[in-house]
Amino acid sequence: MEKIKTLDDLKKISKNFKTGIKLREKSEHPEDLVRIKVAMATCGIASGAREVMEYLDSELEKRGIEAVVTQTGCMGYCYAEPTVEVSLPGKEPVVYGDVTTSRADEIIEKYIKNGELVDGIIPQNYETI
Amino acid sequence: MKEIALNIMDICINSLKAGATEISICIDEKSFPGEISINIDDNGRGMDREMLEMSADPFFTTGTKKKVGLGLPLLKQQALLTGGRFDIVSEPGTGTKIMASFISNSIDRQPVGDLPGVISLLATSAEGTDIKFKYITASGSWTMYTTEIKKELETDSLDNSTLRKYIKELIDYNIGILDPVR
Repeated sequence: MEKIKTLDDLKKISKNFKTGIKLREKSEHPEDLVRIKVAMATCGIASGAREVMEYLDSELEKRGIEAVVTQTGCMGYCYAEPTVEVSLPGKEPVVYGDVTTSRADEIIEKYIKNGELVDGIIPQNYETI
Repeated sequence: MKEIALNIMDICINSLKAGATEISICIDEKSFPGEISINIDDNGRGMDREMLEMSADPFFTTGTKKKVGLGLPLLKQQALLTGGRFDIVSEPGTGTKIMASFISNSIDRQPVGDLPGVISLLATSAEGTDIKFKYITASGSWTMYTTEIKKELETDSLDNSTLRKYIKELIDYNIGILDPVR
């Protein structure tokens, strides 16, 4: 496909998928979806959180998993950045530390798809705010 | 921080936290040849004089989870290290302006990095905040407004991963033809 070069190209291509409304539909029942928060304060960004977020965002879509990927502030685990909080529907949120793109892949395949916990979980007594 | 683009993202996240509804990011390679100047203006809540003085102190932060705030100090250090400049102006209620310039051919300058990735992420994920992005080089300039994109696409939200990918392509192409410093 042609590369997007102008706003017109963007307008044409955007007719092929829904924008705006999709998010609102999602937000009506956010608890039914996989929710992922990527910590993006200075510590996270410096450790590569942006790449991880981009990876999660595109991979989840590619693999057909409906999820909401958002950014959040520093969770206080600067030593373990990039950190990612994953909330599966009906489950307590789990925070994973030192998430590189390859570890993100493992999280998608094992935890998100099968509910199987993978290495790198931080504090058991963690509570989301 | 490995890239200047990531510094820009970090500073813009501060703006979002300050409740800005408009953020303008301007990268100018033309006004001062040999320099890359980064200007980030927002209309967030701003800072008073006391806070402004402390903002470049790594041991000052408004965060509650940690005792350090490294965003601005890092940007300042990295700009000054190349022989560049750093300036911050802020007023409570009106917003904050940050200027950091990097000497392009300094050995201490980090690469600009994945600017299209950073700007597309900011533009699409900052709900309720308008982002204006401008890139100026000797060959010309290019501007992108999220308000304009929203209007053209007849949508109220750009938060969509497919759209993000296309906006990234749009930025990548248009900056690319300006022959920017990498």
